[in-house]
Amino acid sequence: MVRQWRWRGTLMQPFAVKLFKGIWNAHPRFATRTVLVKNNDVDSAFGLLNRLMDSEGLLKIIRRTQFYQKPYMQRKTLSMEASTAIFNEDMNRKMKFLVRKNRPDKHPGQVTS
Amino acid sequence: MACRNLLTNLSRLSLRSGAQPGVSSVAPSFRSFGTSSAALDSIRDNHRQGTRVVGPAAEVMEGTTGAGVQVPVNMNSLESRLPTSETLKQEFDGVPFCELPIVYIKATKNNTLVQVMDYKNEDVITYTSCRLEGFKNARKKTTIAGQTTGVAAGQRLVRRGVTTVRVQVKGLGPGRMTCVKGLTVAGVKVVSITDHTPLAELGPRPKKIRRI
Repeated sequence: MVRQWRWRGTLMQPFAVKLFKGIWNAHPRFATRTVLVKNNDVDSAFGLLNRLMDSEGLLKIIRRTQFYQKPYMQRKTLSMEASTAIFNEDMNRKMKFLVRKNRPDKHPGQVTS
Repeated sequence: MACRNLLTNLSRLSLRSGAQPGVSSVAPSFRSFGTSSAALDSIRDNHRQGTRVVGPAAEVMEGTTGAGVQVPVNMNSLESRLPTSETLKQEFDGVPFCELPIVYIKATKNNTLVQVMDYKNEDVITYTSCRLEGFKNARKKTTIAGQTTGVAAGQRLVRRGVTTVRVQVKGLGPGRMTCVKGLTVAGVKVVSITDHTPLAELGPRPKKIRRI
C-alpha cells in the first residue's frame, strides 16, 4: 500500500475522492465558482459568490490552510465541531418544540387561530 | 474557567436575592468568601495561553463581504445568475462568452495585481499593480489602492477598445472586491466573476502560525 503524503497531521482524509495536488485547478474554467453579473452590479454578484463559497465550505478551507495547524489543534477543532453539532441539533429540537413547529397542528383543539 | 465564572455569578445572584432590604446598605458586590483563587486555575489553561489560535490566524479575511449571516444577500433568481453550458456560447455585446478577454486579478494580502489577457491567453492587453499606480509599501495593502488599480486598468482597457470582459479573481485580499468595482467605475462591463483562489488541501505544508 502506497503511503499517502499528507501534511494535515494525524487525521486521515475524510473524503471519498482522494485529494491530489492542484485539485482546485483541475476543474473547467468559468464553470465552477462563477457568478454572472447583471447590469454591472458587481457588489451583489460578489455577495452571492462569497455567500456560496462560504456555504460550500471553501472559505473554511482557505482559512484552515493559511497556517499549519498542529495535530493537537486539528483534534481540538474536530471535537469542537462535533460537540457544537450535537448541541445545535438538540437546541433546534428544543426550539421547534417551544415554538410548536414539531407537530402538524400548531394549536390542537383550538377553533380560531 | 467559564463554568466557574458562571458559578460565581450565580452565587452572587443568590446572595443578593437573599439579602434583606434593610441590610442592603452593604455594597452589593461584597462577599465574605471567595472561590476565585488563582490556585483553582488549571495549569493547562494557563500553559496554553500562547498557543490558542488567535490573532493573525483567526483574523477576518478581507473581500468576503456577504459570507456571514450579517450581510443580507439577494438570493433571488439564483439559477439565472449561475453559468450553464449555454453561457459559453451566449453573446455579450456581440462577442461569445468564451471569446471575451479575461481580467486576471491577484488579490494578495499585501498587493493587488491586474493582468488582462485575450481569450487565447496569448497576448497581454494590459498589466498594472498597486506599485505601478504609485502606492508604496504598506499603502499597497489598502482597499483604496485596489480600487485605484482597478480604475487605472479599466481606463486603459477602454482606451484600447475593450469594454466587455470576464473577471477571474485569485486570493482574498483588500483588492478583491474593490478592484472589480474600479473596473466598472472606469466604464468596463463585467460579465462574470470567477473565483480561482487556490484551495491547498493537499500540498506543501503551510507556514507556521505567526506569533506577535
